[in-house]
Amino acid sequence: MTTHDNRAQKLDALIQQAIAENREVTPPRDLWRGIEASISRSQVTLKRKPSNYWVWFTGAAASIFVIVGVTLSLSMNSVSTTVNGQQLELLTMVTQQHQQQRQILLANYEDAGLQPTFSELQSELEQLRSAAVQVTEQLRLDPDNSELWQFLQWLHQQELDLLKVMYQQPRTYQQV
Amino acid sequence: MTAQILTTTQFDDPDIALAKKAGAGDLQAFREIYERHHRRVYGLVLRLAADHDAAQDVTQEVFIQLWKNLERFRGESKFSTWLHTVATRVAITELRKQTKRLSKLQLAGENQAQFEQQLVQEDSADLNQLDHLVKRLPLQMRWVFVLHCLEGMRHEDVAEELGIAVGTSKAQVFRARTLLEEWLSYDNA
Repeated sequence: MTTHDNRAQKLDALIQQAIAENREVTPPRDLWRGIEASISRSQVTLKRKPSNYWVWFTGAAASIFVIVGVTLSLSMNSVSTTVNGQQLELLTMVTQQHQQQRQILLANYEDAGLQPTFSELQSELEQLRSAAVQVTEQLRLDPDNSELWQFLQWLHQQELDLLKVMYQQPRTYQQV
Repeated sequence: MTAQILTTTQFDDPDIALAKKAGAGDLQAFREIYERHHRRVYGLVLRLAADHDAAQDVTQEVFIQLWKNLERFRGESKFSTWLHTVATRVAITELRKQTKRLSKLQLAGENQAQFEQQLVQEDSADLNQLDHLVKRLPLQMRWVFVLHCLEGMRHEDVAEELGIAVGTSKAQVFRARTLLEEWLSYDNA
């Protein structure tokens, strides 16, 4: 047997030994902390990212203006000259009720010491409020229009939902 | 028959249930996966990196990437096999980045070789004879040797992972063996 064969055999033996050992090495320091911190950071970033809401509400706000425009122009043609006093009273009640709901919601957040997390949604909130005002004014002229009533209710609900999103706090790591 | 084998594999592999839980966001399950496998991953990465500091960073990156990609694990193979593939891929990518950073620090040519040699000498207390020698191999040759000869990967897979030709992988193993045999004779002399 040549020297080369001996060296090759020795190397093969070392390789076989290394494979058989199924090498496991304990790291000199705890690596889990860093992994956990990184995962936690990425989770928080993910939770703070309002992309879905952003896209949804931006799209919704744009749609609202189109719908408001179309609905108002259509309803202008069918405005009844008869003004129903009871319905106007109901409209005032609905508006006041919504304002109360909004104030209670904001007061609760304030009491809890929470600040709006997604302040970039403020413009969408203003658009929703503006649309609600326009629909309310139109309803004063056309209180029998059931579609406008439904639309107003929908706008109020969207505003409350958006406020909840704005004050939503990112979940902490422990909650995750 | 195939279905039977898959069912048996899933039944026998406790990691699959853990992986599913972790994939759904259960960090405690993921920690258990880490506890089970991190020594094996670290062993592989240390061989590829030939440096404890780099190996620690890369091992962390392997598990961070694993967390992000767990949903891709479909349970069609053993979890440890899949983890090995992920670990190899992430390790090679990360080590390449580190090598580029070293080059940018102008540790090129002889300086880089000296730097690598210094690292090899610094933290080689817990290594066996073969590992000592493998660390002296040039970077890509070391990766090919470790993946093919020690981790049992086919040349085709090694070539794909490293982005080299199959022939290059074979040639690198041949050259690595020649060098190691030569160094073995020196060490035993």
